[in-house]
Amino acid sequence: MTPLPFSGRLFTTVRQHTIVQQLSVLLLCLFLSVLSACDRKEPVHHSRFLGFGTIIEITIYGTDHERAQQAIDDIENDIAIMHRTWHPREKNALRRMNNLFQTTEWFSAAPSVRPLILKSIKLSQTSQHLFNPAIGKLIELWGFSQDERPVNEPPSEQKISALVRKQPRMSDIKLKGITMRSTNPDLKLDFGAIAKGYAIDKNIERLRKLNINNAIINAGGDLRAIGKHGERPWVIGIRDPRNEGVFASLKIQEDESVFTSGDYERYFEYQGKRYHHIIDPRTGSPAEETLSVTVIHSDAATADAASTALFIAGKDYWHEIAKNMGIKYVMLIDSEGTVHINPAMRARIHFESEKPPTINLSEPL
Amino acid sequence: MSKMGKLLTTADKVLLSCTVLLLPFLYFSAWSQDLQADSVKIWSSSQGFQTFTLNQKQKILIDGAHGKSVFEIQNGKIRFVDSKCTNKICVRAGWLSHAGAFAACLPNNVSMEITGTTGYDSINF
Repeated sequence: MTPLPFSGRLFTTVRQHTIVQQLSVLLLCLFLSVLSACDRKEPVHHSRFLGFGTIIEITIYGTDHERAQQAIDDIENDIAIMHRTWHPREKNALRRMNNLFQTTEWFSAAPSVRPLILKSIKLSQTSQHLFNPAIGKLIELWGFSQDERPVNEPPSEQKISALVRKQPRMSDIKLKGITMRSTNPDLKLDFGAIAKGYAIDKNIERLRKLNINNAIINAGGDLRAIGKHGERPWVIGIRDPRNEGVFASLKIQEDESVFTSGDYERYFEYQGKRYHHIIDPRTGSPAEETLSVTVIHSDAATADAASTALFIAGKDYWHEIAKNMGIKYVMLIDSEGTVHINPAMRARIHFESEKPPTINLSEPL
Repeated sequence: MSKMGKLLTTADKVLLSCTVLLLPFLYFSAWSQDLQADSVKIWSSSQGFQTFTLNQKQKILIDGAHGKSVFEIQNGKIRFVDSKCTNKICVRAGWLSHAGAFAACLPNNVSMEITGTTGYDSINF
């Protein structure tokens, strides 16, 4: 067997190896490894679809593309079902339950809605009822239960105050085994401030069961991230509430949800005034004095409810409510553009804008 | 030179020159990043993904779920001019030019994203 002239010279005459030769081989190896890295597909899988009336974006690291896409297709189906089940205007289990709550009689709760109710009762209590999914009638009056609100005048003060006076709260719901009832006939559930978070939590669980441990599920800007992007943590950009681009960024610590409630997400304008979708249950109208609230918390459902509650609480009360809800990281931007932030959040947030904002550092949470 | 000649065989010389020639490639593949924000990806539920350059002034009509969405591209920027929806939140997003900038008309199932590396894995808003 005649050895190839190349390999013969290169690898058999060991003693003649010079530094130049060794360096060449090293460089060639490096080059080949870069080439093979190019061949290998990026270990990040990205996918986007419509769900929950918004755009859902899923990022998965380190799982082969076929398996990742399979998981994402499952999530897409699952989210479509959840959306139908919890949508306030569909003919679904939630609507049947809302009709039964009006009777104030006992009935057996739909299993597809019950866990969301139980979670909401707890969160509503710790938020001192600022997170209040019982005000479905008010949300409907404002037109925000529809996917697209027609542009017309806001509801009259009279109609609003009539509903506010009824004071429906999650604590009006009484539980007995698998049955429940409402003591308030004007209670109507609208899960707009928690369903998305809850759905994200369920689907993160699903990914974990499939042994996918490095992923981000982002539903219309609110997200939960688990694991890492390879060797580095996931990096999240927080969009500027008023301008194009990112105004701050943060790194995810292993498993966290980042939720923002903003007055720019859903709104309509009537005669030059903006009416956004975050209704203060105490006034029955969109909460004023806040532009946006960003919270970081482990589970997405809690982060979802907390961002809404703290938005309504505003710059004077967010700290108290956050403490009560066990939220450790909060950034609130008030209508003046001042950033209210707790020290732990401040330590994690990197402001990207050229001109740093005015910061009002709070007591630790 | 004669000493060099003894030390290096023909194979070594070929290997050495190959390696030196390939160095620039190595440099570019390791250091250059895809930073350009010169194209936009537009998605619609009926037409899927389409890519357009931001360097050419143009008007783009996209079929959405309920009708047309109209885009305008000018000076490296893009905006929704009109769309089949009532609240026009997409139009209010205005001109976008940064890599990663994103806007959508959800009622009409049309979205757009300026391509390029942003440095973020996901955007919260």
